[in-house]
Amino acid sequence: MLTNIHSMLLPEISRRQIQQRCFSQILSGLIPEIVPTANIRDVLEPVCGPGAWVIEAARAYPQWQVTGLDADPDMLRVAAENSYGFGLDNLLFQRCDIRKTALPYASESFDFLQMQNVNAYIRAGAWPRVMRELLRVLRPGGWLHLVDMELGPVSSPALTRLAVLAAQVVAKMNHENKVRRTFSSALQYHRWLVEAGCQDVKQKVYPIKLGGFEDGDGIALILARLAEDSKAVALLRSMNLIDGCELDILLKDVRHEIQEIDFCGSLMLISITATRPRLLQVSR
Amino acid sequence: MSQDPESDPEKQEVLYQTQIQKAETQMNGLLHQIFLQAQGGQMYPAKIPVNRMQRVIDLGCGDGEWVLELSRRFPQVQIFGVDYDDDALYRANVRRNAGNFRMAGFRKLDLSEELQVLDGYLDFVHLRRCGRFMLPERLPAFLQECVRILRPGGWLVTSEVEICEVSSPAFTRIYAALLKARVALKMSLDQSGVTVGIAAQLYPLLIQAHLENVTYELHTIDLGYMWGNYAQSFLLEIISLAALLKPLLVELGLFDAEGFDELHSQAEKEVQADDRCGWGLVVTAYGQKGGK
Repeated sequence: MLTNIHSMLLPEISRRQIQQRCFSQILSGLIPEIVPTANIRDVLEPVCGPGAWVIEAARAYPQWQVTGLDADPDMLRVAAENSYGFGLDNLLFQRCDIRKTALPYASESFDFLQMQNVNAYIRAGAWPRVMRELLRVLRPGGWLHLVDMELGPVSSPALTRLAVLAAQVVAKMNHENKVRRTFSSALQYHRWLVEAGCQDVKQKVYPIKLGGFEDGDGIALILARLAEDSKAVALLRSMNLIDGCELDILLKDVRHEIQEIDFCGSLMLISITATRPRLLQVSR
Repeated sequence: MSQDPESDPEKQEVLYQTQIQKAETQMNGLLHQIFLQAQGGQMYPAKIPVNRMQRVIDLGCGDGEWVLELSRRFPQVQIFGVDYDDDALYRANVRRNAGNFRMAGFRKLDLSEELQVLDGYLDFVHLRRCGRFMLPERLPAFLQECVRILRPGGWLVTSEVEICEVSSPAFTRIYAALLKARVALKMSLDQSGVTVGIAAQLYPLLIQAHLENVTYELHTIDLGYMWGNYAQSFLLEIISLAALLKPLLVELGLFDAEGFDELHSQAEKEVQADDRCGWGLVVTAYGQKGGK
């Protein structure tokens, strides 16, 4: 049974795990340096996927009470299975779809909220509501951390083209008609956070190397993303943004070009922190 | 600008190219600060031993910011700055003479021709934003020239900036048009017009120039509110460059004249907003000449 779920979710799981490795390497820790860990007791990741981050957090900080939520029961089962071996009594998983329902917690229940790479999941239009909900369950003085990735400049023309197509898919899914270059909503976070009543909104962008002899991780990440995205590729096909044969050639070119020895590229990791003020004033 | 573009398209193309290059030369000082901030005050990759070097050259030195800053840090090293822009060289010389920079000097050289420098004369060739003074199609030959004047074991360091994302929709539209114009003017290495493309091509170009130990570093630029005025001034400069090129943008069918004016003032407003967000990237690719 579990094997079956694993094989279905495998690309997604490996993608999230590689991401997690990248994130903690680059952010040099589980939470941003700016966040004072001493005051943290209750921690929530509202979209935890296979649990990579919550498991690491619960292991590194036994004094924290860590909760991971996800809408997908299969994903939660994988997360629970991943955590079994560590005997963690400060980690809890619960099913919740933050897109559809309120969080099942009283106001001011958490000190730290982590949201990473959830843009495939939360559409642009839903974000302002989600942010207000996140802020509701955050204690005054508590911290919110949003992490996302965008593709930066790359030397492969095929990958550049594929990224443009992918951004068009995202735009269509969000029912946007304007030109869009990004996958995530990271460019809007600052505005939404401020509108939801946050303070001390700070953004840091970290570059990740793709390509170059010394770095295998970046390539692994792209390949994982490509492999995972049979769904995304199907979506791309169904949207008629590109002819089917042309798409096959494009994907082949991408795989070829990113494995050339002179491939140069970059991913941008965007990390945004904000705090909830003592008095929450929501502007609309 | 009164000249009819139809009359001599080639001449007109060169005119536009020169306009862009001139505007980018004027952004040099600002970009020097942005480069330094992005690299945490570092002027070149950490593993390059400038303290043990004798001669360093900065090709396309502009106002001489990099040369003079390096000379301040390493007063014993001989540092040359060359450029083709007389105004920039004048400003560089004024600055040099105002400070105590005995070992720094500036010279006018046409970088599109064979460099009047001896083979193997230099320990370190520095090349920042070569897209400012060189059409991309000439880059491979130019890099060969750079390698020729390096001594065996000497370093070639190239860096370029690329704007990635800016939250202002009006700026994004204007910038997308500028990128398309660059493609039309053969000033881009990304035919899709998504990026200028030079930054991402430096690493492959250095490998093709047969350098050794070629690698690259990435540093981010905050184009949002975190870096305050630098980012804002930079974005405003880009918007004025677009205004300068308005006839071309209209001619290419990217805007109608009125639509552009409206978008232009909208973009100016948006990039000065408090909640502006965005980022760019500095790519520094470098390698060593083989043989010792």
